[in-house]
Amino acid sequence: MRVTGLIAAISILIVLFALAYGLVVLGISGPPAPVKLRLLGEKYLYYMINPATKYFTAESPEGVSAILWDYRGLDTLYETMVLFGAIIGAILVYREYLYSEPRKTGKIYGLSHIVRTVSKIIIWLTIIIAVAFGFTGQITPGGGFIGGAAFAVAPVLLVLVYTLGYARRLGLTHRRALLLRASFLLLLLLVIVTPLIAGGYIFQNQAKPGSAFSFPGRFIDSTPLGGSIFFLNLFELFAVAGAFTVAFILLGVIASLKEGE
Amino acid sequence: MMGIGEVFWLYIWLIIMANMGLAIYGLIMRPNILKKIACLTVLADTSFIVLAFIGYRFKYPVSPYIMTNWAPNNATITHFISESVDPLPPTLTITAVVINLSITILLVFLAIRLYEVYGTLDVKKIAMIKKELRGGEK
Repeated sequence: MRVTGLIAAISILIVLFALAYGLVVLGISGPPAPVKLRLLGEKYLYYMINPATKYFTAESPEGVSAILWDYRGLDTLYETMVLFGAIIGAILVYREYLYSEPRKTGKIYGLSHIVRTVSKIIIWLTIIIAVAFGFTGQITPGGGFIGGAAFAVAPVLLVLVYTLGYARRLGLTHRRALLLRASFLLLLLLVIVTPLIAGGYIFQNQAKPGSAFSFPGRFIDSTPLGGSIFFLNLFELFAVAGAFTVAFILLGVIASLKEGE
Repeated sequence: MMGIGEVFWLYIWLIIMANMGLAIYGLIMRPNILKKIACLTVLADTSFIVLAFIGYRFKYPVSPYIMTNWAPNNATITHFISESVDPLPPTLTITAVVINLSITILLVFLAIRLYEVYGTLDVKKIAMIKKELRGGEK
């Protein structure tokens, strides 16, 4: 056993040092301590909000959002599908638990009054910050996925502090979370295929050669909207929040059932 | 002679390698599935640091990839490009974070199921139980 461990450790060290040698001495990831931008990164930065190049601009001053939902949009769509596939997989493993009621163990449910009061404030703050991430994803760091992941903290806190039974009484059920996820996923797909219906290209954001279709690039006060990026961020936020909420409700149900056993 | 930027670059790479090494070691050698999942998460997080590090520029001043001027002209854009970090590695990081989270969620659920079936998360014990069960069948 010890010999096996030692061999594994030495092998890992050899591989890692070979990788370090390649990166540092041979420079396989570019020159050490790079000062210049890579050409691809430079192009993205040049075109992301450039009124002079109307066929290439994404109308988003935030580079990551422009790449995620415009230049590499299909990549992000498949990534979203992986997330929802994983959630569906988790539900399939435990689907029978979703329909069972959490057992009461005779213990006092929920945490103390102080924790509940503090959590009330934190839950609302979390929701506000999460929604703000989604709404301003095209101009500041954040975006749909980050917002959705932050949003899902609120139901987790609700279940932890107030118990699953209370959350259910408030209307937080897995069915509703699934409905939220499915409806916003459909809206997301609708935004993706809208240009196609209008005679353009799939995932088209701004006008392209051969298709004049364009999502609105600016708000009324000329704040950048990023065209489809704004809508995709917003719908992704609620779809991700719904997906995570389902997973957390499922974990809550399993935990409460185990507690009851 | 290496400059201060290159020495720092080398130092960070060595730390990243050490972190990766420990994560891979834990992934292979630890028998507990929960520890394996934790090591997988550490490995993924280290790779996110690698991505962020690849996109960084060792110069001053350096700015994030967010254009503050919403009606830029060519001169503004050129100045922005001269200071901004690469936006592509953070984009890949977001994609990787999502995939990692999906895998972790699925693995955690499968680990809970495994614990229900075998009463342990130790892969060696699980292998022994399976062996015994197979022996009983024969």
